[in-house]
Amino acid sequence: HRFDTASGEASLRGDGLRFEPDGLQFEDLSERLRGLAVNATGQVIPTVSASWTSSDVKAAGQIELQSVSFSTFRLGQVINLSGALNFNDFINFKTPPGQVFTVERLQITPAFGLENGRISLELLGTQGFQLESARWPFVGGELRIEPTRWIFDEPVQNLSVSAEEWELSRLINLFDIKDLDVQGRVSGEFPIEISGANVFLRNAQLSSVEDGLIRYQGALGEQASTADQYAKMAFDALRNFEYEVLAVGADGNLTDEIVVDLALSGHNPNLLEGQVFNLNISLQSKLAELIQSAVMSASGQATSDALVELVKQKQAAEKN
Amino acid sequence: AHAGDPMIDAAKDQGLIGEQADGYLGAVTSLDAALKRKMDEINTRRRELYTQVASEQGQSLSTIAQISGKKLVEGESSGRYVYDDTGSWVKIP
Amino acid sequence: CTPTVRVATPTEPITINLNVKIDQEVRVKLDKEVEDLITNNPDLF
Repeated sequence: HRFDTASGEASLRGDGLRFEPDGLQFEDLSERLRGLAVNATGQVIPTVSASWTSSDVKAAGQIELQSVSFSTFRLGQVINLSGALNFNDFINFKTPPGQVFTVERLQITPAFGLENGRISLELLGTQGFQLESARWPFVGGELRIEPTRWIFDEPVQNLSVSAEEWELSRLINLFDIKDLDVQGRVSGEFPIEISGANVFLRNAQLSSVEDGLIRYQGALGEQASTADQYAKMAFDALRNFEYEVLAVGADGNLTDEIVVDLALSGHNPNLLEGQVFNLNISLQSKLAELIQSAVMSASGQATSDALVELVKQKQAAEKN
Repeated sequence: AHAGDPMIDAAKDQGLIGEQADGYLGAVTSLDAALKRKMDEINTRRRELYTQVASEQGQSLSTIAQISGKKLVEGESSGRYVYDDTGSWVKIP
Repeated sequence: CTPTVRVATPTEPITINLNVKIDQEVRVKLDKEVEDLITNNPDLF
């Protein structure tokens, strides 16, 4: 500190702080961070240099995060986030663009998580950040969140998610549906609305980028045959269905109930001489339960009842 | 309702915040920053606990949160506000 | 005339809508689990 000009600088090279459940937490760094994240663990290494004149104090520095984990209200649990925040204005909690992080796992709901994320952002102060890019490898392709401004206190946050070459077979595996073999890939973009504790999928539309094949030999087929001849025909077609057109739609709330619509056009070469079918299959479920229940197991004793509601297309069927 | 966090209990008594059917605390009126942050913290801790029960029971997060919300709204004491399924704040007589 | 072989071309597509609803009845056990959660965490509820 130089008394003549009342200015000086100092730098703090912390040997590292450790977030612990009963110890240091975000709100201890700054009360303004209370409520953003709870139960933080992991290593934080701050290097802050401050310089001041008689009129103001400027502080810059870096906070390095090593395998930091915490829970949030809107996005669930962040597990092992690592990277560095380089502050050009530490006091106002601002950084230049291009602060890059890797996130080992983002567990949004008990049933849905994303692994090995790569995120780039610019901190805009304690009110939020500008998300520059966020991408995860996902079911053989990639899931990306398009650039957006994330404001902590904003009750509703809208995101646009793009799906890049998702392999249907691996997407279906997320739902743990046995006896369903699907080949083909889909891409597309869809809006997500995060409001309160809900993560709404708003009419996501993904379409096939190539022809593909679906083979389903599961229990639903047998149950259907008793219920209705059209359903039986649909399931017979699905035993070996070569499709040209396929669209996957999803709507609902990731933390609650999701409706997945599968719209297929194609044929089963050994059914009615390759008669063309337009199949519109709507799968309604609470995502968590679908994953937990072996409802479509080959053995047929579904642990939960699979209710096949049949909507018949009389006109289409009678026309031929 | 049994004593919860003192700051939250006081805010409930003053009609600033209240229990919601979705299992979380909500703002009845606009809140000062400190109370808002405290409410956010409590809600984030609740979501984490709901998540643990949901994964243990193979249920969706909302199912667990709504069961809790129903109990908390029904258990709330008179004079306080609750945000029930009708979608509006109601003062318990 | 040369015999023409008429290949049975697939006629109009058959459109079938199928709604599959997967339900699991909420087990009573859930209620107790949530009740315990509330009583065990007085600072939150």
